[in-house]
Amino acid sequence: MFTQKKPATTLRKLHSLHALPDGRAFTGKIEIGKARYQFTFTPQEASAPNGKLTLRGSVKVKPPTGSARTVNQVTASLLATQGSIVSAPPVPKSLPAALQLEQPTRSLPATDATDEQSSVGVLYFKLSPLDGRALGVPLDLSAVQLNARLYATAEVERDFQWLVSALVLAKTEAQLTGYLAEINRSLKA
Amino acid sequence: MQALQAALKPASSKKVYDVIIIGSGASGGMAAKELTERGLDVLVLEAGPLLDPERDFAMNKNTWESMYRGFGPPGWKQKEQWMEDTAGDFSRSFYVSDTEHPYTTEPGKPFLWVRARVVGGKTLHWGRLSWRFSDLDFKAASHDGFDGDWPIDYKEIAPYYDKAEEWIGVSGNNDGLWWQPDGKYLPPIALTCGEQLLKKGAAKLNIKLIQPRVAMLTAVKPQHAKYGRAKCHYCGSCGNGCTVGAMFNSLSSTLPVAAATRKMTLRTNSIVRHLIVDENTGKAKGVAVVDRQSHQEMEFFGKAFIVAGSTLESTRLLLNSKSPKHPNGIGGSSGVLGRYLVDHFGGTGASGVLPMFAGRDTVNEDGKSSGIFIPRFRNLDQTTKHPKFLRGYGFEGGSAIGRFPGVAYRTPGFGSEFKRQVRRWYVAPVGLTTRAHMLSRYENFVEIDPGGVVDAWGVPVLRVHIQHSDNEREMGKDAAETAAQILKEAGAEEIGISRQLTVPGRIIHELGTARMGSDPKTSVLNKWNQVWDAKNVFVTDGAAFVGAANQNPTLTILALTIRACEYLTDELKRGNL
Repeated sequence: MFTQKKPATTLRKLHSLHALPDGRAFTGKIEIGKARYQFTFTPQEASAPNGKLTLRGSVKVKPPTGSARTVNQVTASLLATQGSIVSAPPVPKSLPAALQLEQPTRSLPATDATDEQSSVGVLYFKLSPLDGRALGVPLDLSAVQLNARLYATAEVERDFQWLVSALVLAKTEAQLTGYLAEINRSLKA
Repeated sequence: MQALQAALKPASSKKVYDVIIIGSGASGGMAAKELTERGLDVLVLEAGPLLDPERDFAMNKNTWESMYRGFGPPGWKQKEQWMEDTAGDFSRSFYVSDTEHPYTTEPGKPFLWVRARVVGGKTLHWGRLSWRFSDLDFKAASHDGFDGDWPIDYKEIAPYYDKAEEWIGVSGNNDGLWWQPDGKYLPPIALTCGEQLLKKGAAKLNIKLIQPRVAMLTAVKPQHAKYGRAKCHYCGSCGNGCTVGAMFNSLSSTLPVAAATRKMTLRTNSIVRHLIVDENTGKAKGVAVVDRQSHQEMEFFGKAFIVAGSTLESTRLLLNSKSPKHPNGIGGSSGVLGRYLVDHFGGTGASGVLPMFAGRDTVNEDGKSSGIFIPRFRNLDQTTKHPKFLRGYGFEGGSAIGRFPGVAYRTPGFGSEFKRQVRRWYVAPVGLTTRAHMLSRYENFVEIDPGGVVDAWGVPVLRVHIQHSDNEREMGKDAAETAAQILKEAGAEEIGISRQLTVPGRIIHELGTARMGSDPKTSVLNKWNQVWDAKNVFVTDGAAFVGAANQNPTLTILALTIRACEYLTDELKRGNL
């Protein structure tokens, strides 16, 4: 904690990676100079140990030239979130009635994007260590943070954002379990 | 710009600078000017690049020259700069990319953080409103019993307000309001016809409406001419960068002064990870820096340090500067580092149309970019005391034809009749929006994200905890109703009332988190903006604020910076740092 000098490494460390939803996956790019590597994380399963969302899935990297390489069984553990500043997406059409949220009543003005208008705008995950060489990326990928920006433009993406937001905001174990089941259903659909 | 380019010389890791300044915005730029003019050798570290106004500013660009008419490619903002609320297609380069600069918030308690990592910082696009605080603000706690007073009073800071106003150039009127002190102004910018009606409407409710005090040159004094600043020509593109220097920004007004002394080294793309501490003395001795582009790590050393990276970046830096001597970060011994975060709130207000102007010819009314201001009118004294909230709010607003016919959003129909209606009413808009005091509360705070989230350079990021209290909500309710009343008295029709408070951060007046005070047990800084725990470190931006008042904070930041630099220089020369 008190070390003030960073150790030198041979490969530059990739600290974070920005990604956007693409259906049920998250896509982004790693830029090294002018070379662009297309990155895709496709979650297949969600769990919530100690209440923290964890996604398990595959990482695929497509280099500027050559074929894509894939690593399976990658976990993305939620570190923290960034609250959205715009209104929440609509409630998923298939959401069971028991998981619907109550609408609060109030006599004083509300604040934008809070209470029933809240949603998560970004999920910050820590990816399990990746081997840059195995993925063909000349960077140290041992501790990459995946910044998953939930900019949803399709229904499946809006549903995921709503469910993840509800899960992060869940107040009871029953809610958490219910939303997690819905997320898993959506990932497997 | 040539002088500034010349200041971009390589910084030396072997040299000990008199002062290292972190940040080049309002405070950092002014500190560079003040310290170099006093003969000190200064290194300015800016996390972003130096833009060339001639090449990078879009002041003279019209929306029809842009492929997407100034809105930018679909989705760009939500994909890249979703928190940079005021960024437009023409001003994107003034703002950070949110993809590289995360911060975290509690679920359901969002915070909007606009950041500018560029030489000049947010002064490149700021709102320019330049109000003094009064003792109603500095001694607010004595007035109503909530929280604590500032360690300074108006009399102490007034001469520095004078200096700041005269240097940056503020147009405005002396209005003789004791709670909104007068200053040294250039000629004011006239109100439009609709704004005159608003003034009369407000007067019927015994509410004063005044001309805004804005940092725009309506006359050029010798100190402005010397550095090539010109009078405002009312093009209305202030937010896209002012290439003539009419609007105050660091690039045109303070950094060139520092560059001309040849005492300033400006290093761009320099992200400061933390302050390096001398473990014998507890004072700072240097800064650890990572280059934004090359990711190369380096260190620079100094005798004293001005931390002016903007309110929350400054506090982030202090919190990240942990060492055995400062286990909670520099300034962390009191337990209030990171605490008492505030932002003004807006959102509540009213808008409508003035029917007497319907269908009139279009004129250039938005070029002045200033509007009106209604100073606080609640809780000034016993006669104005409001039963449901403490402190108060003002209104910004105006009545001016704008380039974009916002009325079209509310106009029903389509086709030629729709266009006719839009043309008829877009020349008659009127509106008021709130600028309100948010109480400084201990429970609104920032910390280094406990989950371990980092930015693109591996620097730990902030987690922000903030939400409004019922005091703000009651104030917002009163403001919305009062705004509608003023509009009605002004003769407006089709009045729509906005009743929702803006998300914290949206007004871009985030303040506090390293507050000044009289007691090291309850504050981070003393009355000279000096860190109690490390006397050669000064925090001169909005982080130092004890309370927000309801006025725009930049002028107070500039005045505090000048005052702190004067003190720092004297102390350095006396060998006290």
